[in-house]
Amino acid sequence: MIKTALNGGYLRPYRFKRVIDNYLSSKINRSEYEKRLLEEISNVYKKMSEIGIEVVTDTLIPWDDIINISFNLFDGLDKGELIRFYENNFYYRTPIIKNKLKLNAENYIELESKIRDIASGYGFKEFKAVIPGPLTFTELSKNEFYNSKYDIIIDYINLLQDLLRLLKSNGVEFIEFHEPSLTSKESNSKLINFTIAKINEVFSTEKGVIISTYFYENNKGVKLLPHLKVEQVNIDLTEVKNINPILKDFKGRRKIGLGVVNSRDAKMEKISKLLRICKRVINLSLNEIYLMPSTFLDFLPEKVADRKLKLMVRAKYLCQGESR
Amino acid sequence: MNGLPVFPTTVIGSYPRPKWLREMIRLYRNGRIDESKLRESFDDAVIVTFNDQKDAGVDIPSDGEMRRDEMVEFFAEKLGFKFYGPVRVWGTAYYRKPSVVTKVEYKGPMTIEEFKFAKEKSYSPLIKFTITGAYTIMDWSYNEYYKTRRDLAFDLAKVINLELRKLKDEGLLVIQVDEPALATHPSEMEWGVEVINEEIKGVNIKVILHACYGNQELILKYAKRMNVDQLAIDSANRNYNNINLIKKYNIDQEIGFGVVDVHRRDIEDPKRVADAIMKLSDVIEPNKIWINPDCGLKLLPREIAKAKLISMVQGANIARSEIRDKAKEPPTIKPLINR
Repeated sequence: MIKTALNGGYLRPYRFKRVIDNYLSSKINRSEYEKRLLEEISNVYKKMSEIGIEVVTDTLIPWDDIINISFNLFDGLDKGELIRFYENNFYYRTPIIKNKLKLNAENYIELESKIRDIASGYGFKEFKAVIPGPLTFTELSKNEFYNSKYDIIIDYINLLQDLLRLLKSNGVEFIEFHEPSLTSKESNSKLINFTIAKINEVFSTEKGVIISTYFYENNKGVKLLPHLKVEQVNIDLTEVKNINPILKDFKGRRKIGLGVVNSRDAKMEKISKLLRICKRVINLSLNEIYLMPSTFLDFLPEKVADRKLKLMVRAKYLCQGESR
Repeated sequence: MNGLPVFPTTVIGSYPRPKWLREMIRLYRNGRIDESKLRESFDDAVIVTFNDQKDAGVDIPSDGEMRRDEMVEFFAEKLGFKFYGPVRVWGTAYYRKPSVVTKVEYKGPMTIEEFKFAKEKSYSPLIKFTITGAYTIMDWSYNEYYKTRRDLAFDLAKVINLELRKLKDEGLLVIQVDEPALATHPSEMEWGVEVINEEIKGVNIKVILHACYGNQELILKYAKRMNVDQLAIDSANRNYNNINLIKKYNIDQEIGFGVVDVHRRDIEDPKRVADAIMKLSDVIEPNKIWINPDCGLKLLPREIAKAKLISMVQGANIARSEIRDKAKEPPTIKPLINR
């Protein structure tokens, strides 16, 4: 079965800028801000439903960036310098780890539940909370407390396990960990291997865990992705020249997420290319295939992002020999 | 022309647009005022920007890039790139990311009138003028035409070079080429420095390269291969931890030392600024240090931007009084490198 999905999030629409600016300058209060935030998210779900996207995330609209979420999940962090997000013209505030990480996600979970309810209202059956993955969090943070990066990863993964359970008990069934650092040149191979082993140790029997990977700067890291034994791995096919070797290694898995439209490039993909990928993947005996953008969509203007999502939906139906 | 004090103070370029200018831009976009009224407002805003910098005591001011909505958009519009809509950079900061859909060619002067006006109105005969570099325009645009990023970057470098030569002919003495994207793709750094050298080829005035918020070590590592006179880099944002890196790479160029964090609203303590300058002067010769904010100030409220500049100048003044005996040669406005 082929489904279409968001990967990480939609994009924070430009029209929402005024709401945030008004909130930050105290022109509107917290409750008005949250009301407007949920209205905006509702508009996005309405659009996703009309386009034909079947699996949504929390949209990431509440957060300045994917790393920013961690400030809303854990105690023990201070906000540090503004740094470029990998090689993109996109920035995040560095978390500075000042103390042992401690889960403090009550407000986050409450917000996720509300967003999940809105998604349900539009008929979305699969809803994903989006969280920075353990290696990505570790690599993009500044450590002033732990003895080593290994210690951060261990603590972080254990806390994610607690978070997963809390989210599930609040009706959020899927959690998508974003792990661009698994395939980043900056990441050390031992640390990559260690992270994969720890993820497998803690999450291989947990339902609803997705690891999303993209920005493939490091071939070694890409080759290791099939070693991840979680329910679903998202791989970015727009960043690999030859997709056959990587797809072959996922043969027989139950689920796979495929980044088939490039979230960082305005150029539209050819439908023929998407169809070739779909047909190739169908032969891999996977139960569920998710067609998705390569990563979150903040790198694109809204109208280009929407065109790419529509193209993805078209590819799905054509591939299944159906019309929408 | 020289006469620069030790630790000359300057800006990186952009300055907050006055509220009334933003309103005039809005009215122009809604068709309620004509282009001449808008131009008058831009001119007024440049004068106001110079006044703020004069009040703060900045030695080498800029025109605040009042006419530029965004550093890549501005040039992309002049070069005929295509626009699809705003793209987010961080928080609530967006820019209209352009797309290259045809071969890039020089279509005529892009900044000459802007420079001539700034030169005429500046309180100082020395002004810093800014231009976005070819590599950054390439990296921050979508490429829907060129086969490779390299091809696009080198075509853009030719265009920027023509513009720089024209600026030089108009009497510009200090140009800052903004290349914040340069260090973002380490695998492209080898040809990235060649793009820089291509765009400034034959431009024998003081050339400053500005890079910020990226892999600064990479910039310093390649500095010896860049034919620029100065590197203007963010440092306050890094809590001045980059001083050791500057020492490590023992670069030949001057340093434009960032002492104002442009993403924070609290005002820097002049004493702390002075301490950082003194620390840097232990690492490189004092006459090779210029003082500036980390980056453009345009995202700050104007009163905060001005207060930060005042604090920066106060910090430089404290450092000047401390360095007096140590500074043997004054800084120079002349280029260090013959390009």
